Amino acid sequence: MDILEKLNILADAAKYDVSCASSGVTKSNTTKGIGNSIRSGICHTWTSDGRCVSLLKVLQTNNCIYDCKYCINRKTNDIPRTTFYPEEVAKLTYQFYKRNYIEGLFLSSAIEKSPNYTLEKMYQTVKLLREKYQFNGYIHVKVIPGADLRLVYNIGLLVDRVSTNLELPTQQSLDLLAPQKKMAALINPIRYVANNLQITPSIGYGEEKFVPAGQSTQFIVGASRDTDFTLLKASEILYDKYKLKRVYYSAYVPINEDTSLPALTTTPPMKRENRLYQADWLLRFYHFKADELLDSKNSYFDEDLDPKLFWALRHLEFFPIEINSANYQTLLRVPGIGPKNAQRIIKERKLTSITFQSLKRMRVALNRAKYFITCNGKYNSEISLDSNMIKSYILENAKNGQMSIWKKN
Amino acid sequence: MEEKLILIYDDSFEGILTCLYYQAKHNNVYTISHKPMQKNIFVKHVYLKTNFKLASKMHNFLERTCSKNFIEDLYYCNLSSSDNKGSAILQYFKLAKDFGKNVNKLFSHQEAYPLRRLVRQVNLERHRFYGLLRFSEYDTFMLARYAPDNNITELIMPYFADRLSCNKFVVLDEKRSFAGIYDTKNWFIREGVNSKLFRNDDSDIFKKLWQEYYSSVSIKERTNLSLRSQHMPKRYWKYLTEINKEND
Repeated sequence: MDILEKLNILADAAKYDVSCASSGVTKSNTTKGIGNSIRSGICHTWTSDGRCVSLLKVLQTNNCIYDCKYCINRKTNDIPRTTFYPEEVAKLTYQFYKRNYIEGLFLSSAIEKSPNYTLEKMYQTVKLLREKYQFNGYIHVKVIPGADLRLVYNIGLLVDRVSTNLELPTQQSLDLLAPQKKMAALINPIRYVANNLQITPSIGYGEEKFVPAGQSTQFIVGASRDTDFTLLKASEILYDKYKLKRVYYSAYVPINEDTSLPALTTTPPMKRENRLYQADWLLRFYHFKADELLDSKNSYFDEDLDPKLFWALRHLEFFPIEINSANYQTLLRVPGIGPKNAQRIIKERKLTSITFQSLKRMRVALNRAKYFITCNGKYNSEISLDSNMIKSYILENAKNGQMSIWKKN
Repeated sequence: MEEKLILIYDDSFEGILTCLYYQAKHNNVYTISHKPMQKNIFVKHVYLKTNFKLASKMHNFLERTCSKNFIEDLYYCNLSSSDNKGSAILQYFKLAKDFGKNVNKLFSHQEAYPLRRLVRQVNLERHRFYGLLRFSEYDTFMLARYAPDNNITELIMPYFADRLSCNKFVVLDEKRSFAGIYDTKNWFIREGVNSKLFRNDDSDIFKKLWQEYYSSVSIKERTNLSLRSQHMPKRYWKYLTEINKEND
């Protein structure tokens, strides 16, 4: 099979993994090498579904011994199977990188023969890239649960980020959809990586530095019956206890027919995925707790409202807040104000007072923010602070195309 | 009352610094422009010749009284393609007289905002092209063509010089006929480079592999073309290896 055919198969099978970030680490090139990284990450192109492409995302192989019901590569599926040689992936990455198509490599794999056999092959691939090709760009490797942790350690010294996909947040869901997977076995490498992150001193790249860009995971949304609350609580634990850098949410695209899965005609729950991402940002950058956003009675977000607005409308006693005196934490609670603008407001108001006009120039989303704030004591919305009124006004505006669900925060 | 002036400069950074020197000295500059402006009978147009000595004096003065950040903001703004960049710089400069070093903290202030907006555009485009620039193998070096809105070649050169390190490369701004050239040690800008000097080579196997890769990673159940154009405006598509083929 030629490289073009292999690439088609092994890129196509990898695309359902939504993580593609190249963020979290800044490093300069070495004199003889190729490649660098910047902390914010870089997108190189966007697919026709609007997702950023930053890394060459491929599987080492799609030969799998597992039979997870939601997965395209499950062993009982009749699809073309193939495997990359380590040299093939390394060369492809190097040549793509040189042309500035990508920021680096995201290497995942189906489980061929055994977890150790599979991860060993992935190790050879990244070793070739780093040593033979002197590649200093970004590498993200998917850890294979069940593989020897020493192998995980050795890979961790070569790559920037590792991830272990939990896919489902509870053992019950795993039992139903991925009966060969056990939550404890999945958590094991995550815990191992977290522990090693803490003991490795931060020294320059190229020396012994263990996964400098941290680790991440992914949940599938909509394949099981798990609620938004269950998912968000799970994410919160992963952030707090295991210091994860990112949790990704992937709206389930039905590929396989099975009675325990949504029907093949089900459209992916894109809005739900979007709301979960927004809530995830609230956990990481806005000091929100999962319990503030949802509870066992209200266990799903409102698809029409972003989670912060959803929260604000149930906590009107908190508002309106005065832009010229509220502290940073309080500013962050206002729908339509993000960390960047909250910082700008704090800096600027020491020198001059902030007006609605100023907020507009900062591109604060006033269509949402205006109901919750005052500027120098002035309240500048046409309606009073009433949650039903505000909701209907905002939705009306959204219908008129003023608010896109794709706008984050 | 002294007569108000419109200063026309040569688009160089030293040129705008010379204008600012003039304003500091005479305090009678109405606006600054790098293009001849429509005649206005109430103000006089003056083509101000760039004076490196005065520019460097101004530079030192700004470093002392404002900050390096302040100068960098002026510099980025001057790379903008906007016709109003001269007046945005002048407004911001005048504001610094009142606020000194604190001027850096103003974002939405009426007199700071025009400059901030342009700086943000230039910065955004610089960051975008870190990702969107496409090189192809050409002879003994890598060649990238593009046509950015703003004059960002000198901003992206240091980044690619670090990244490609031991590979020679040329970044060609076809809109301005500017070339950024890197020889594995230093980089420099050459003006007036004819892009027809370089012929396209379509035999590159990795180009084809990349196009294939690009079309295979889209999830068709999730198609959202407007979201794609929002991130990657169509005006940039001409030079993108992967989209050329797709033709949509």
